[in-house]
Amino acid sequence: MEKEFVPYGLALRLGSLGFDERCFRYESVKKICENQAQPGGCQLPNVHCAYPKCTIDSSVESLPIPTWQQAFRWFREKYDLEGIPQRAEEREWYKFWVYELHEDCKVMISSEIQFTTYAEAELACLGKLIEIVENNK
Amino acid sequence: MSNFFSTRCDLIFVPIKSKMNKEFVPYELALRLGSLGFDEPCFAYLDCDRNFIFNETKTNFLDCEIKIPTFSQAFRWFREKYNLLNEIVFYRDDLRTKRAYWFTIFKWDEKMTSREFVRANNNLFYLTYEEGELACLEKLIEIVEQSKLK
Repeated sequence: MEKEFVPYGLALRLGSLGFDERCFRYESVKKICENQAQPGGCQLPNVHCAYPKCTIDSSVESLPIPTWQQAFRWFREKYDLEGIPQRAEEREWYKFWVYELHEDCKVMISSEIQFTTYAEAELACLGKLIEIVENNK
Repeated sequence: MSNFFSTRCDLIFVPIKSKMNKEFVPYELALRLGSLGFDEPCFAYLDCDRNFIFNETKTNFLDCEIKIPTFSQAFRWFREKYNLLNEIVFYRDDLRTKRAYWFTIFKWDEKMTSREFVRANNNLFYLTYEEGELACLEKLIEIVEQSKLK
């Protein structure tokens, strides 16, 4: 099932962009945790900054980890960006396209080729979508 | 139940009361996928009473239980098992002058060096991505079902 989910690093960047959809999986994220060590044997699930006591750390967030289709759908619906990984025609590699969608047309704004697998192209495509939105913010 | 899915082809859609219902293939298509041999781990299944159960750790299934894959799982399965690659893309519909989607399917050879255009959607457009996605998956299933009959 692991291959259904976007990697943690990309999920973190998606979270920074405001992705907050309901997901199948969540990860704990430790935010700023200054001057406190890692918990020593504290079993509570959301305790990270536990020194000197096992107290609930309100700086811990739950990060949604989307599936690939959720992530691509989010860019399509929220930013009108379409990312398409695909096999290159008559070539032995994969590529991706990113389009900006308008009411009456779509404009290709990014394209890369020469990925060995579909999964690599998909990963790069999502990374590019994130980068585009990050740069526009 | 989604009006779109029920009116278009009478598919029973998984009754999840959230946006998550976009993630899963409808019951009938999951059933047909199972008949084709789809047996990957899934996030959810329908029990014998057709209750939708989230459980990604379940490994043993009764005959009457049906695994419900997500769309991306189903498309990956066709890609990896049958070399059938699909695209669902935005397409400007000149007649309607508004957004529409369509899909294409390519069958690649075993070495993934050449491809055959299996199907576009014959000038059919879909008003939403999800509608195109559903039609595309139905077509993929149909292609493999027919190839097994030959």
